[in-house]
Amino acid sequence: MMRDMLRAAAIAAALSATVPAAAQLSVNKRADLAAPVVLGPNQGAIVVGFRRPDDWSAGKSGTIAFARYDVEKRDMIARPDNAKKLGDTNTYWVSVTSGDRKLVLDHVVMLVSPGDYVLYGATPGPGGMVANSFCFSAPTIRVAPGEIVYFGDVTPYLAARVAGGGLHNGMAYSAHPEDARAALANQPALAAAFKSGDVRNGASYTCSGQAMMAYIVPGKPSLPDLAPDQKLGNSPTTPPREAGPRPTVPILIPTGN
Amino acid sequence: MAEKPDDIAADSMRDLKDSRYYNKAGATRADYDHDWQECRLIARGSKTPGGSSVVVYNPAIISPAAAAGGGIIGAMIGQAIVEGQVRRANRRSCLMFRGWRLVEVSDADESRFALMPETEREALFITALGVAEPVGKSVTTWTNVFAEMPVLAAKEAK
Repeated sequence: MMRDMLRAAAIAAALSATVPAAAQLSVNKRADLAAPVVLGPNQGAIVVGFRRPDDWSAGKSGTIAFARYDVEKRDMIARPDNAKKLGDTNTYWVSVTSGDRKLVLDHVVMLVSPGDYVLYGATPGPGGMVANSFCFSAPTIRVAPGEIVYFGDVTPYLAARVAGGGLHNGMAYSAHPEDARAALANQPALAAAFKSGDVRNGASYTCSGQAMMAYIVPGKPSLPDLAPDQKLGNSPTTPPREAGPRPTVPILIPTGN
Repeated sequence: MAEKPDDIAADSMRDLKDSRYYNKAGATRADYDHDWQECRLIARGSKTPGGSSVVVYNPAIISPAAAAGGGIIGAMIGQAIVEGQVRRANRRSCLMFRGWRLVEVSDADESRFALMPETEREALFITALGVAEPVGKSVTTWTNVFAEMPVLAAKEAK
C-alpha cells in the first residue's frame, strides 16, 4: 500500500517536472468570461475586440495573431525548439479568432505571459489562421504581470465594395477601450487590472508567411529609432540581417515592473 | 555568399519591364538596386513563430479566403501558383512600403518601348526611376488601407 503511494507520488513528481504547470507557449483559446477568470502569478492578458459596425463586416469572421517580440533587437522571439523540455512558460504565439459572427461586438481575452508582443498578422474570413505577416511594420504592445491590456478592435472586411469602386479586404483598426472595459463588468478582478495598451507602431521582424505586409495603427506613435550600432546587421557582433531561419535563443523576459 | 553588384543589377532589371517600372523621386539606379536586393532577401524568408521551418510558399496552404484576407497584395498572392510569383509579389510589397511607386506605362508608350532597342529602353527606365512626377496609365503607392477604416458603398439588399 505504502509502496503504491510512493510510486504514485514519484510518477506525479516526474510528470510535474516535464510538464510545466503554467505552460502557455502557444495560446489559442480565449478565456471563458462566463466563469470567474483568475490570472496566474506570472500572467497577464491581451484583450481584442471584433467589431462589426456595418453591413459589410456583419457576419464576417477573422483571426489575428501576436508573437513575442524583442523591442531591443527589433525581432520576433522564436519559441525554442526544446521549450517544453526546459519548462519554458513564456508565451510565444497568440492566435485570436472571432467567435459568434452574428455579434456586433465580441471581446476576446487571451491569457499570456508578460512581455512585449507584436501583431504578427490579421486575416479576415474563416479558417482560424493568419495568412499574412506584418513583418515590414507592425504595432506592438507590452503586457506586464497582472495587467489586462487592451490592444484595440478589428473589423473584418472581405470583398467589401468601396464607395469609389473596387473591392476591399482588410482588418480595420479602431480603439474603444471603454467598450472593452464594460465587457469585463462581470469579471471584477480583470476589470480592476484593465488598461488601454500603449500601442506603438514600426516593429519589424524576420519575414515569414505568405503575404508580407505592413500594418500601421492610425494615430499611434512609432517605436523610437534604434541607434545605428543597435540595428540588426550594423553591429560588429551581429551578422547582417537577412531573411531566413535564425537560431533560436531563449530570451528571458522581465518578470517585475 | 554575397551576390555581386553586377549580378544584382542584372536581376533587378527584370522588374523594370516595358509595361511598368518602379519610381521614387530623386532615386538613382544604385538606390533601386540596394532596395531591390534587400527586398529580395526579405521575400525569401521562412521561419515560423514557433521556431520551426515551414514550407512558406506551398500554394496548398493558401486558401482562397485566407489569400483574399491579405488585401491587395494578398489578392495578388492568391492568384500566384508558383513560388516565384509569390516571391515577386512580396518583393513588390516590400519595395512599395519603402516608398517606391509602381508606374504602369500607357498603351502607346508600351508599344513604342517594344520597338526600341533594349539598351535604349533600359536607359529610359533607369532615368525614369528618379523622376519626381511619373506619368502613366496608373501610379500606385503604398497605403495603409488594410488597417484603416474604409469608405464603403451602401450594400444592396438581397
